Amino acid sequence: MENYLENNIVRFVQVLRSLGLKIGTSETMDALNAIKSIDLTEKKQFHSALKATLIKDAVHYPLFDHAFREFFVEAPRRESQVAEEGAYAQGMAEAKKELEFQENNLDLDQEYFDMYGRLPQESRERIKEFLRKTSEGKNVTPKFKPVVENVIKGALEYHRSHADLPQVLPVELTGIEEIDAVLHRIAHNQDLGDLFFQNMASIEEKDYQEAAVLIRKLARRLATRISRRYQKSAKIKRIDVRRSLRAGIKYGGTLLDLKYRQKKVQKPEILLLCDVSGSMIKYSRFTLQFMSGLSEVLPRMHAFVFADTLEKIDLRDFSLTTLTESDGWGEGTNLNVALRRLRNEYPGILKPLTVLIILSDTKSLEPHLAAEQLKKIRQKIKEIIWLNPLPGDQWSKYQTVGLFRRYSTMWECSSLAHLAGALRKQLG
Amino acid sequence: MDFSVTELEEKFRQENYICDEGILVPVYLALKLKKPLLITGAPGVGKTEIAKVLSKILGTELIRLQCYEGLDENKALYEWNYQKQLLHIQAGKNSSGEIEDIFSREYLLERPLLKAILKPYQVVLLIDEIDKTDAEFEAFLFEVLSDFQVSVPELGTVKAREIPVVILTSNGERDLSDGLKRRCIFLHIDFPSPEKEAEIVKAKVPGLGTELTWQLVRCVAYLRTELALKKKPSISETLDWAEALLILNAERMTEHLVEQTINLLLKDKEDLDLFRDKGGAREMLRKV
Repeated sequence: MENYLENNIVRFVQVLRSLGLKIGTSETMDALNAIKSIDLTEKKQFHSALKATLIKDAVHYPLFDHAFREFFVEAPRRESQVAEEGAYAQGMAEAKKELEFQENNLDLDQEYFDMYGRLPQESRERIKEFLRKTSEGKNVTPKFKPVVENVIKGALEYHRSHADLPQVLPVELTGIEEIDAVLHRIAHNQDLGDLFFQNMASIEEKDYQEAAVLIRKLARRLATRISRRYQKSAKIKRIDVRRSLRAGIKYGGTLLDLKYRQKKVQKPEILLLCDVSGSMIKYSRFTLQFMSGLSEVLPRMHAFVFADTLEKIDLRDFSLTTLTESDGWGEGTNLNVALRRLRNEYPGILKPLTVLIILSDTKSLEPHLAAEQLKKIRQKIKEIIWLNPLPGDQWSKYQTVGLFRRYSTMWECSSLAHLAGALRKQLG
Repeated sequence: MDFSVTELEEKFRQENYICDEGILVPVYLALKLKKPLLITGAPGVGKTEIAKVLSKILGTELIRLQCYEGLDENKALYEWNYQKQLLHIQAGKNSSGEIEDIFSREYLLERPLLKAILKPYQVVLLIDEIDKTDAEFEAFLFEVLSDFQVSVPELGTVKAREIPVVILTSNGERDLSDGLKRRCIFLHIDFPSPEKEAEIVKAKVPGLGTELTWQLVRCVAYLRTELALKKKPSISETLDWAEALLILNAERMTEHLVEQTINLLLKDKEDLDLFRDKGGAREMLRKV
């Protein structure tokens, strides 16, 4: 696309969408119309105009501001940014050249080249050495290329999950280098300060209080939504004759003010199961805080934590650190043990109105046995919601995800935005 | 509407509403693009005030629909005056004359939305605290705001001659529907910076001295940022506090004065307890 302002705005909208913001064509049209009405030489007016037309929730403001700063760069900084973008494009080209098998480029998605480009030099050398030796191996033909590609993907995934590659924000790369360079900068900027979209695992201790304030606000909004959903509605069309007759007395007996039967609705009983093993503990901490904020509107809520055993907790007063540092808590996850204990020791909790919410990355020992337990539980309760911190585009790589998805509705849940969105769709 | 953002700012200032481009540009765009303006923010930050100021700037009437839980189409749009109709029917029976049409405009109770549509000139329609209504009312409203026409079965379709300027406000107690949000220009008003708040206090309570104004806004900033309050003091509470200090002829902030008047800022017992637990007036004045 040529560099006209309108095209830049369309590209900017693409950046925002890749960052997870839902922006439709009508909002884009509003933004294009808005910039015709303002003074384009005034950057603040330009910024406010785009914000007012593209963003419809204040929690998205910090992310928008950050994306705006990185995309619409002023002249003094533009030179260094062009140099950065050039370096990024060069880095991508080098990555593609280095990841070759028998002089053919590996067929990988853009995000893998991006991951490779961000690896420490030592890790890159190891991968290059592996590719060189494999390419030169005895009896190795080009037919091995798909196998080699899968090995490289696995290696890069391993590096991603073991924190060689810190990523603050999940983004969806577009394959357009100019846009991906901006996304890359935004996604890896530790000073973003937007806790709503940030990966929960990367929230630092100094930001816990701010995160707690945000969680309280989100929980309050969802609580109001849940409360209204389960209120008796006046729109149900069954007439309550007795009440209508009583109301008609003031009109001389004429039935002008009809009253309706109010359907009794029951709120679900929530059973929360949080994985607190290893890297899951931060996700569980914030999820438990969030659910605690809903406890007023969902009074019949029970919470448990599990790793290789199961423990009931009080949502109003819990300390994950104390719990997981105590004896008997290991680093691994065994959902089978946890679910079996739940069924045996707390059978009264599993009722037809129960909604089971599990927070876990599905990486459990004895997964097939765990799936069997889940199947038996599913038959007794209303539904199972699974909150999975693994990125959605990687789920196909994990057999356990497919196994547990048979009995649950699974949602990606690595950020507070994901958590609030999933619970809103399921409970609100 | 024939003025620029800068001219709009000047007109707002003349009405003593101090704000920057962050607020002015969305208001300006709502007027220019003829779209509803959805304003969110904590209570007391000045959302409703924007509608009042706009009606003065445009020299037109402000029609207000105050939303509440249980509000339905009858209360928002129109209702028939049943009592008047019944009386008329009764009177008609007694006199044995012909009963005139009881479904005419004479018997129609116009509620705010219909009033705004029927006006022959452009008005400012304020739909206040939309988050207090339910999703069904929101869907109904959305339909009305899209076409600005209403079908009254007995009278036919009524279309607005002049599209009103529509301002919706929300305290953010619940999520509004995506359909409504997408069709509005969006503005979120946060608490102002101490500098901006000092300007607001000087404009609204001009009798308070400069030094005391600065102490006041710094105290309010302390309460908002340093304490995890359930309800942070709003701009309207800051102005209440400023007026109280003026009435008490205060010259400077003292611990005793703060203890006497803190209830104007903190309206929740838990917040008051927290304030005292964290050192109360002494700690606040030490920090500011």
